[in-house]
Formats: sequence, structure tokens, C-alpha cells
Amino acid sequence: MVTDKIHEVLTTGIGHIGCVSSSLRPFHSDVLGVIYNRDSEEISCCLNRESSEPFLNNLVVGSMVSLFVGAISHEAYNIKGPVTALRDVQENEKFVCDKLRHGIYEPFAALGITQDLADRYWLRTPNVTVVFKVNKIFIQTPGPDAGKQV
Amino acid sequence: MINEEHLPALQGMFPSWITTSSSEGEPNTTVISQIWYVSANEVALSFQFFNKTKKNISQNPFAYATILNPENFDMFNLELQYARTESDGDLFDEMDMKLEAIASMTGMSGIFELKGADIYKVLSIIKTN
Repeated sequence: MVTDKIHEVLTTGIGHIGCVSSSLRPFHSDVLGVIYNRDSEEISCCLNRESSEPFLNNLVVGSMVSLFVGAISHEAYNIKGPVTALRDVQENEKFVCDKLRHGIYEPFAALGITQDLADRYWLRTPNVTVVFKVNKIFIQTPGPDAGKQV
Repeated sequence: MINEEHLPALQGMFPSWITTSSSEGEPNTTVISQIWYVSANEVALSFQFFNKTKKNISQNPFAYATILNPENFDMFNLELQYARTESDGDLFDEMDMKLEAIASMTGMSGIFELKGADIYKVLSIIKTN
């Protein structure tokens, strides 16, 4: 379901993950790194626990999540599914987060955003991982196909 | 509730992100070009298409948004509740002009017609970084 093209955006784009409380109040958090496991068809999203408190307070295993991920080129996808695990970040995932952060500096600089400013968003410690099963993927790139399911 | 500290984040210099939910509890997180300042207690989103956000809001009025100040990258989370849609007036005209200007720059003039300004009550606003 996750094609190479989608995988490229997943692992190099900017992501935000949302959930809904039991009283139907939505919340979200910023994703600092994404890993896709092709065998289990699961996505692991690394977050900073402290700045994700409202989101994490309303998330349990089994919650439905919506991951928006978009590239600087505006290519974007929305991936949805149930949470299968909530756990500490692993060492290989910290490496993925560092790689994404360093990869973002250059396109941000081209937009006039200094590294100091970018770090206010990106230089947060990834210390919790949300794993979810990929159930549905939607195109979110602005244009005639926006909203279509893959 | 909204004060001068928040206003630079409501100018549309940087996208905002928003999460809504269907009545069945399925979330939808997406990025929008701008959240507009209306008053100390209200903000607005443009209604151009009947997209998933609009569909969800018609079922469940609550939304959660993040805005970012492009000058210092301060980020703020807003809990919102849909209040009403305005289809004329100063705010509508301002949104319409700005969206039309963006559309004409991208060769899409007349395609992204503004149908309304969706007004949301701000339930809370919290700085996150």
C-alpha cells in the first residue's frame, strides 16, 4: 500500500499526527521522525513527550490516528489506522529523527529560515514512539486528486 | 484570549495544522494555509471546498489547531469550536481578496472561490515551545 513515492514523502516530509478523545475532542502533535515497516505494514512516529502532552493524554492502544505528512514540494498524504503500540524511542529511531532534522535545514534555509529558528521546532528530544497499522492512505497534495484514497 | 503575542502567527506567513473528527471518532489531520484573526475570542477558516475538515465540522464542532509565529517559531495550540459561517462582510471580503490574489498568482483565478468564512470560538490557546 505504501509505494516508494509515498515512502519518500513519509521519511523526508514534515508530519503531524492526530487523534480523538473519548468525548470526540481532537488533538495532534508534531512528528520528529517516521519509520515504515513493510513486513507489518506499520508506521512508527517519534514524538517529544513533553510537547505532545495533550495528544498523548488522549491516546491509547487501539485509538485511530491520522498522520498528515507533506514534502516541501507540497506533495502530501494522509495515512490512517489504529495504534498498535506506545513505547520509548529506540536508538535506530533517534538516528532517523536526526537525519530528518538535518535534511530539513537546507530547504528551510532556502525559504529564509535560519537553523536557530528551525531548531525551535525540530530540536526536541524524540522520547516516545507511536506505532500504528496502515489502514487507509489518502492523497493530500493540493489539486484534483486531493482527498482520493490510494 | 488571543492577544498581540499570537497575531504574527495568524498572518498566513506559515501554514497552520488542524485536526477534526467525524462523529464516529475518526480523526483527520491536515495543513491549511491560514487561520484568520477575527476577535480576541474568535478565529476563522476559509470554506472553499466541501473537504474532510468541513464534513467533520458539520458532524462534530470541535477542532484542534496549531499556529506558528514566523518571526520566532513560537507555536500555539488552539482548542476551537465551530460557531457560524459568514458569507459577506469585511472579514469575508478580506479573505476573498487574499485568496483570489494567491489564485491569480498561480494561474487558478476563479477556481478557488470562497464560499464562506467559518468562524470558530477559541476555547483555549496554549504556547507549546
